[in-house]
Amino acid sequence: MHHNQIRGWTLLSPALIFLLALGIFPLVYAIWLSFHSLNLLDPSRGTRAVGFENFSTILFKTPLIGISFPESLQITLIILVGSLCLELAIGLILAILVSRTSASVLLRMFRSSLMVPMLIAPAIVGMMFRFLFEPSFGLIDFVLGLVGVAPIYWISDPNVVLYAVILVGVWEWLPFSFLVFLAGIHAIPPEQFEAAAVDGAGFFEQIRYITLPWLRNLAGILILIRGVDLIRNFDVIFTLTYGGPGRSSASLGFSAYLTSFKFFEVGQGTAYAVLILILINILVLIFARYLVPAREETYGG
Amino acid sequence: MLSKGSLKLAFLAVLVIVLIGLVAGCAAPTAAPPPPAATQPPAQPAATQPPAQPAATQPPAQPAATQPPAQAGVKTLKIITLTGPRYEMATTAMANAYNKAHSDVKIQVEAFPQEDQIAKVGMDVAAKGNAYDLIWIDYKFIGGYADAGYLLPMDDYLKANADWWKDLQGDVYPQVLNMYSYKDHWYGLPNDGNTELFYYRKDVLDAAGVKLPTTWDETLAAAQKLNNPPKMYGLCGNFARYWATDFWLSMFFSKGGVIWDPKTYEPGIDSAAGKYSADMMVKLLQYAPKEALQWEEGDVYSNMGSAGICAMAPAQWGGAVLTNPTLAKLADKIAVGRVPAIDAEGKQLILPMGGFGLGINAKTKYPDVAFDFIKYWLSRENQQYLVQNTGQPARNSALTDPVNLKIAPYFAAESENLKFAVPRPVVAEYASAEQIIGNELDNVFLGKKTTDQALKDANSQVRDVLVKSGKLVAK
Repeated sequence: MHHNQIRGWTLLSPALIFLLALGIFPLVYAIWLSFHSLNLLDPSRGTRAVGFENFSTILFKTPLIGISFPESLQITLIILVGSLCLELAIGLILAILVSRTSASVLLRMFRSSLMVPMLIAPAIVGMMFRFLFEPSFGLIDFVLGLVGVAPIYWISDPNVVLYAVILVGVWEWLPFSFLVFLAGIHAIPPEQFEAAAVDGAGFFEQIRYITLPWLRNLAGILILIRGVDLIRNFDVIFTLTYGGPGRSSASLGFSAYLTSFKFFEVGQGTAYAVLILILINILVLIFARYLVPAREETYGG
Repeated sequence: MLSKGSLKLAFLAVLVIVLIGLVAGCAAPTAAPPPPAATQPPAQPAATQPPAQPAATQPPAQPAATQPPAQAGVKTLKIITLTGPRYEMATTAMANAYNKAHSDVKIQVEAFPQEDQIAKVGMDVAAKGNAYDLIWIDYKFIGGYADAGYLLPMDDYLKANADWWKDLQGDVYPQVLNMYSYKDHWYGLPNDGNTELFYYRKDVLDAAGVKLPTTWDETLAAAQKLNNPPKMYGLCGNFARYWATDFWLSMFFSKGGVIWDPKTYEPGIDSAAGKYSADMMVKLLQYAPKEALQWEEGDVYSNMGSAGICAMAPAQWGGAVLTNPTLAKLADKIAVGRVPAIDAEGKQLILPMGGFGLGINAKTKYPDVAFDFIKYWLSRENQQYLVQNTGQPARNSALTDPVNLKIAPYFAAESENLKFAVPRPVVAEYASAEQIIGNELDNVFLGKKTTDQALKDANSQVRDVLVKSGKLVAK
């Protein structure tokens, strides 16, 4: 082997070892475990190979956790679509409005304050909203009551609970889309708006023909990042609803948790995680293919 | 600038360090934490064979033959417990006191939320490891862990400490103590006793002229009378998930129900007792806040103890929160009594047993110290200290001790209710069964299933669990 090659491999090796130990090995082990049965409540039974049984149980039967994979997937997709639509739409509107306003001290303070929800750990956000959503002493129903709205059972009504989860997610992650869109708008050369104004383009035409095409790439990246995040969604659900009432808000991530850490069926729980991983990869491929186009296709201006 | 040679050397050094770290990390679960060489046990550790001699009771200053000399170094033992005042704070206090009294011992406390704790111990059992020397253990796991060879039988230690053992046997209800016996061996000892209690707002009941209900029918009538939402609800309770199972059990057991036949393992959830209990919960739920569908223990505490919207919590796990003024704003208005029975005479009353015990890892290097610590914890003279540090004792003398009752007035009710308590099934599969029953009860409360259908489904799912574990043969 060439001297430079040895040096190259030597330089790479710490990173490679870490990658193998912390990335590749756990993944391979998880895949191996997903074809095995291991119950932590009764470890004396040991680990035994079960072929595709874990996957077939999850996909085609109602597992012990009491919710089927399609039902969990449906809950996850409702949260995913609801959150993404609201976060992107409101984030975009806010970014456009703020970008058109002169940069006063108040505005800078407003921008900074928008960051706060994003800085709080999701588990804390969930716990905080659990109190805020309390019909008896929570702030939200109290304020709604002042304007004559009857108490809403945010987290105990199965017909409302998913709206609550979406609202909490939007509250926390709206600043992210807002900041990304704002940065994108600031990156648009001002000459384009000036030229458009000279040509007689109004506010909405400038948005339609300049702002939105420029932000298309960023929107794709936002959808990708938040989409993956929402499929894995666990911490807010854990602390806010615990997948309930019943299993009304048991997303895929939470169902995997229930399998592994409530029923302690680690093999089946890992199979759940592998399925989520496959799903995320499929969605990433779709997002990457259709939402994040190649560079030359985008900056049309 | 570094030369090429020294650069290569530096990276090789990094590589070696990383490799050593990884190898050490991989080895950790199966090897004991490396104490100084001098503290290594003899080549033939006696961990699984406690000495017949009463060495275990000797303070570590007079080490037993199986232990390294005291002056050789500090014996470090890890105990895994649960987070929360009743568990972690009590364990830390007892460990610190023990460490203070034994200069050559260091008991280290690791506390985790219950699911994490179960998972960590389960992983250690599966790996046949010795990550923990002492284990805070739920009695339902005793059998599985013992069968896996993870727990040390304490029989020889108990024989060697006959007087102390006799005193303990006479002071702990047999049904509490016997939960830690499996296949004629003692694999744990109860350090924490618990069952369900009836918490109620004495001022609210008095103002309405309602006597403390003694049956479930009376409880339902009282809840109806006291119900004045949204300011005051007749009743509160855990109606969510496996917490709902615990509520249901207090009626189910009293009505003569069994989760499964102890001999044949045939499930008995779908039964007259099951239906009575589920239907009664549906009726009671009318007088509870709607949000109780998502309530667990902590929510009852906050809504009854501080928000003050609940008049009664008739089947609540025992605990200090609701009667402790520093934890509940309305503690001085809350009293504790006996859980309702089915019949007026109180003959049909059987409650689910809670509580925990301490077990010893069969692979610990210091079994004598581990047992000595358990003995220290459970000793009659240390119970007041335990209670002062938010512990909840299993000893009846400690539950009725006037000094302790000043700190935790609910102990009197705890002692009274423990007379009626029986263990939930002492096999690991029960942990899945309680989840399944809770989920099916939720389906009834949410109107997704009828009581009959939910109980039938629960029965069938629990059956699947038992078949999968090999305890029951598939039909």
